[in-house]
Amino acid sequence: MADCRETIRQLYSYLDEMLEESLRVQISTHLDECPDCQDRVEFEYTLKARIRARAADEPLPDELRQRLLDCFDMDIDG
Amino acid sequence: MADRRRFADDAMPYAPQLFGTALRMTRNRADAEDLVQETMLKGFRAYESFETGTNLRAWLFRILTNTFINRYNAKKARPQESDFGDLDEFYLYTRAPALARRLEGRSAEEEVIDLFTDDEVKAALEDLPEIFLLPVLLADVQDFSYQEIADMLDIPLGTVMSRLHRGRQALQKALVEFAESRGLIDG
Repeated sequence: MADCRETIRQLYSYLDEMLEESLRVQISTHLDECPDCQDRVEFEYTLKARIRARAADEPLPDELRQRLLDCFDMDIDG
Repeated sequence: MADRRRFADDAMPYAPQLFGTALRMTRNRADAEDLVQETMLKGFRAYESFETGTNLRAWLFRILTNTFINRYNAKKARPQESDFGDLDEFYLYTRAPALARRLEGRSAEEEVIDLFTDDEVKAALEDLPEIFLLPVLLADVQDFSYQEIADMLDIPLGTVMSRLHRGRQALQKALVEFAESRGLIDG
């Protein structure tokens, strides 16, 4: 089983779902038993989700949409 | 092989994501619009070489990233990595209790995250040194895998991970500084 130190070391890889299965299971088992590490993971997870929600897309301005479509048309004709 | 005539239908749904990322990269609306236009035009012209069935979104982001690095890179000075000095682990989390105490009746540390406005989150991203900015945008905002980011930026996987790690700390530090400047936490 992983300890707190190993869990903190691997926390981002765990959050990003980039760990190999055996290590993921070890971290996950530790998290079930350690409220401190669980808090930390939940905090980082929430932060990541909020950043995404606030910064992922921007509405495409109509004139940019038109500019893009126009430049495809012009490019294919020319 | 993909059909060029289908490019607008296939690629335009990704334009808002590309534009959002371009805005964070360039920190300027006019440059972001030009960057998206250049990306889309390059994609359109190269679409016949795109292999149908592979990841179109990753392919477009790769073009966006490379166009940004080659063209817009030197245009605007960003903070340097060295400006950040030593960064603590979990910069925001370790300061969250001090922030939470300021929230009347809202003690959960996670609510601390909601203290920050959209503009503060965007500004914290935009002010990252470029070597952190790209991995953080691609991983945290656009949810690409470490391997996809390594391919896009043409850097080793371990470098993606270490830049992402430091970039996240730098982002959290910037958020803490916003909290300090608003008097939410003692500086």
